[in-house]
Amino acid sequence: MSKKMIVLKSSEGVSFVVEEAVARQSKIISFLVEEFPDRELPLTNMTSEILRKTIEYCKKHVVEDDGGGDSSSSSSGDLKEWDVKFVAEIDQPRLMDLLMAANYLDIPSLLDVTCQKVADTIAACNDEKEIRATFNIENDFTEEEVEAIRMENQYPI
Amino acid sequence: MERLKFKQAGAAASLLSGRETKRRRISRRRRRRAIHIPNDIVEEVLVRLPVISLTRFQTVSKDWRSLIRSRGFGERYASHHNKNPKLLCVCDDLVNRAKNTLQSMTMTLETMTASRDHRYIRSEKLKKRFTGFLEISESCDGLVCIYDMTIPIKLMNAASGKSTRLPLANIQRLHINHPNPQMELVDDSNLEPDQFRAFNRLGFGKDTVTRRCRLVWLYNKYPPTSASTSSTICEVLDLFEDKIKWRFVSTAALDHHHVMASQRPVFANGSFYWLTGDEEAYPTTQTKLIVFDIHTEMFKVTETPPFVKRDACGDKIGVCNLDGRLCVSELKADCKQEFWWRVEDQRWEKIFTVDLNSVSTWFGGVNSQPLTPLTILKDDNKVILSLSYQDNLVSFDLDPHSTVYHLYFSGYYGLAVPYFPSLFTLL
Repeated sequence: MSKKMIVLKSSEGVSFVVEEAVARQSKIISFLVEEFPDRELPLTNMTSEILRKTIEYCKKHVVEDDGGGDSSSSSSGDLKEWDVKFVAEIDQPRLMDLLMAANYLDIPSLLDVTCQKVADTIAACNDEKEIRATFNIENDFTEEEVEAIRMENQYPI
Repeated sequence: MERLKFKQAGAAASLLSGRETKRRRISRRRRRRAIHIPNDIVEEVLVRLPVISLTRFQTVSKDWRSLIRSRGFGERYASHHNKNPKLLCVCDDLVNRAKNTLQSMTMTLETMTASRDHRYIRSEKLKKRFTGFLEISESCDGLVCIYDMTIPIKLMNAASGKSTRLPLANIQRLHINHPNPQMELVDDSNLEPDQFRAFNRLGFGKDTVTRRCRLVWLYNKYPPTSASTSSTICEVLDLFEDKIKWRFVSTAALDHHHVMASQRPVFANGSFYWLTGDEEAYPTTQTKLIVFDIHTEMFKVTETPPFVKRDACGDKIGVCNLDGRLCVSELKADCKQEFWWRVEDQRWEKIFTVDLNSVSTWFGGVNSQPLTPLTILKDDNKVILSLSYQDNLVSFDLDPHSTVYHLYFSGYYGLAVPYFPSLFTLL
């Protein structure tokens, strides 16, 4: 039995042919496939590169539903390891694009791993200055305000 | 559901029309300005940060600070982190042998394979003003109480270490005014011991109706009298009220029953549980269960569950909260401890049996005291077993046919309690 395929189109107009089961991990695509069957789905705000990455993730995470239970699909431990490697290999700007794609297409598990990776990056920063520099955040506190907050956070013994 | 549909339909319309959306404009600008966390994503990211990082990084920007401090974020944080508990351990500072310090450390409990260094989250010294037996309460909303009978309770956020002191309870005033050399480590050995006065422990739970955290202290009347209506006294303290004050709750429903000392009251599904003892607070063979509904503040006495032998002695019965359920066990004469938990109102399920002879080498050779399970590691399907003041934590396979025990943690941990990290009373 041949599997049902759908076509996703990136912002550059490149078409990607994907198994429906793979693409359906996106709640938005899942909805679109039902509402507009047999249509090419243009994803105008996703570059080919990010779309390719997203599809790579979805292919790895698709649950083979042959009724056989734990047949070919990877164990949850292997999958976790794969996820860690997957986000580790992406540079910051692309990671952010991928995170946005996960948010936009509504893929909860991809959103989770990408957000966790960004959170880990923040947690690894030495101070708030480093965070501001990494993520282009403007400092809208005066020095006095920062000092007052620090005092507040002194732990009583 | 309706809202989801609406959101999807909206997204679908903009997708198919190819109309340039606001998000697209944002993503273009971003490319020019290097990386940037879009506003609608900041919360998704920050909710995944450890508590310590959030306290430190409040000063990044005003937006971050107001988000981190908002009540909605606090609740979202709590619900995001209520699956994998962490462990708080409080023990004497054995390394420096300093008499006046306590070591408090927190560790993650995720996988068996995590190295020891990975498990530690935070380790710190607490100035020890405690003079007698130290206790920690169960955790509620990420908070725990560290206390003894004579100094104000230290209410601590387990994840951050930030703490505050609570007013003395009446039972503590009694202990301060009448020191008991058997309990408080006072130097004056000429003091006459006050008989029957035992170390009853503090219950800590949350009323899910009013969403209030409450401390409950139940102890036997001293000196014991036969004239009054009940043999016990109960004090309650509501946290986060304008005026924090201990108040008394009627124990008339407990009649002549006494509460057993040296047990940590258990909070599960809206009620506290204690085992009964004799009038000197020692274990008896006619053990019953005292139940206190945190919302209605009503006491009642019930029989122990049917799988516990009628003549089981109180110190052979284990009661605890395991993964949110009331868990009761009995240590039998053959050193087997059988654990059951309550799945519905009157329905109990057996979960596992531990042979104490097989694990006692890790617990200082003790096979006569019931073990306390701390939590279940869902990924590994294992339960973590503990015995207070012993050096090790042991993991046990929940597969019914397994008899495999592993050393999970080695090193003196003193007293341990599982908690879910939260931001409450922190900011």
